[in-house]
Amino acid sequence: MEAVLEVRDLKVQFFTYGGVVQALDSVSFKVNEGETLGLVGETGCGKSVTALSTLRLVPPPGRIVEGGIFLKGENLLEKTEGEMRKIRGCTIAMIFQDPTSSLNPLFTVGYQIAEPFIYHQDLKKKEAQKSAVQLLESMHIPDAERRAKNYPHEFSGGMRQRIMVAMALACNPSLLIADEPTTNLDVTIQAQLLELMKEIQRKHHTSILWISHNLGVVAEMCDRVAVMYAGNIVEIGDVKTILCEPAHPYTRMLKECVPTANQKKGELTVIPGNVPNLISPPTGCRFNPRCRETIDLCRREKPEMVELEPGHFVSCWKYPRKSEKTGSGDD
Amino acid sequence: MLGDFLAPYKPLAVDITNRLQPPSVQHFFGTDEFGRDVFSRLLSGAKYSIQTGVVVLAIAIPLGSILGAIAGYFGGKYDEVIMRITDVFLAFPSLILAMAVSAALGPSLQNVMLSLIVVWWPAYARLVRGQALSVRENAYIEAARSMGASRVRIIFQHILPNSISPVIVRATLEMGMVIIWAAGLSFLGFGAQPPSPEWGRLITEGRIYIFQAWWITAFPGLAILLVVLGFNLLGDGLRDILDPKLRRVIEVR
Repeated sequence: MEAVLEVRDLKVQFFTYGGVVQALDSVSFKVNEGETLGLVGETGCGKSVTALSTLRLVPPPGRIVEGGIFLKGENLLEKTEGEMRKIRGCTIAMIFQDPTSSLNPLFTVGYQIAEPFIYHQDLKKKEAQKSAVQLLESMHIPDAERRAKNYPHEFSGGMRQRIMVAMALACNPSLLIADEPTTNLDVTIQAQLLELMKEIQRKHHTSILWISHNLGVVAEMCDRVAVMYAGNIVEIGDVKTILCEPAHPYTRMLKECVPTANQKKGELTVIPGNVPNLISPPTGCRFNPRCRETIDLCRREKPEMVELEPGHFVSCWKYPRKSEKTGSGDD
Repeated sequence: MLGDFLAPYKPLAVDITNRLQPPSVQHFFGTDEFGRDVFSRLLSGAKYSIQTGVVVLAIAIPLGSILGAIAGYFGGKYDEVIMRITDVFLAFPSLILAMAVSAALGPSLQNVMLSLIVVWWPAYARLVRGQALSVRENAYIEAARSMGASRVRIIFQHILPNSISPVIVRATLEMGMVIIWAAGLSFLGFGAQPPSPEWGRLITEGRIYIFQAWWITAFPGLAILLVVLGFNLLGDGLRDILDPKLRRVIEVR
């Protein structure tokens, strides 16, 4: 399978007055064609920064310091800003977390969906408007023609998120980055959106980078999962393997935190401690202060990625290196 | 604009026999030292005041707004440079600055407009910058960037339209201010030159006769008061209509 997106040793830092925040530290992963890669982790572990980096939209004072982002073999970090603009919204599109504020309140929805057609495909206003209505129809928005003339506040949250999806799909991108698109929706609407996304993926063979902290959604949507902690990818592999037989202690604790129905009331599992301050991250494995299985080595040295079984990589000292081969990513 | 048609007499028509007449049925607001009808002069002078207000704001607002939006959205160096320039203008006592500019350019109504533009735009730059700072944090700005929109497009399509409502309100409130200032500068002799019946001018000319013929100064003064009051009330109304929340934004400045 061909990789649509490959991120190699990506290092992103934020240069703040308080010091340099090492937001991403050597993050590597691949998204193959037609596949959905989940990116899970706690708040502040660098998921969104990863997503924004792939579009080269890291907000200042953040900067991509090192590494490479390859879209179909081309390094995005070598592109000019003008070339990047052509890629954004066209080859890579993004859906955001909050549908209530992702649309400009002053323009009609139809107008806003038509925009990418105008500046990426040079369509005339009328044609763009027509394509916008078609897109809305394909998003199962009833009475699309009339609704296109409505303003964002006249839509419900779920509808608005579908409109965002429509906008993102306007130019038929090869990669869709979904930054927690379902967090602000209730479960039934969430299920609808997931179904819609799957349908789109089947139809257009789009690759999706799915960012979420909801393991249930990840299980539903993703083929493979990468688990992030404090700017590192600690484990990456098949969705079944990660969710059923997690190898990294962090992944296991994360899984335990999901409340189940037969849990006693008032008993919630938590991971003790907080996400570390990334201005001065812990030495060695960044998870060591919160890990149950910390050994001396964890505090001294950073573990490398070890391939446990084909396609399942983990970065933890518990798993000794089998051979000299140290994969920095996955297949 | 209609003042010239409505006026019962020609605003410049001299009638020495009827000089310094008190208000009467023939001359509603009396006549001045050359027997010119004050009412007619007032009506025909209205166009200068309105024109000055409109022109000054029509140039100062876009100028200030665009610079403010650039400063607010880009931040960093752009912000520093633009805002420091506005600070320089705002730090100067504005009436003195306006007087200095129009004195340097020579007395004429156009130069008064120019000097008022110079004085007026920094306030808008600052207002819009503040708005832009909060507007740019909205998710739709990020979404637009992720769709490949250029910076110019973002400023004109997203930042400016979403920052503009306090500007509109402020503009109507300040329309009156501009008129007062223009009249004030004319009163001081910087603006319209005789014999044009600009309101500030009318007051200056009547000043000498204030004890014999109060009507020459009183009625133009009253006219200015009414126009300014009208625009202020309009501004107040608009403010309430556009967004009650904005009340604070404007009062804070």
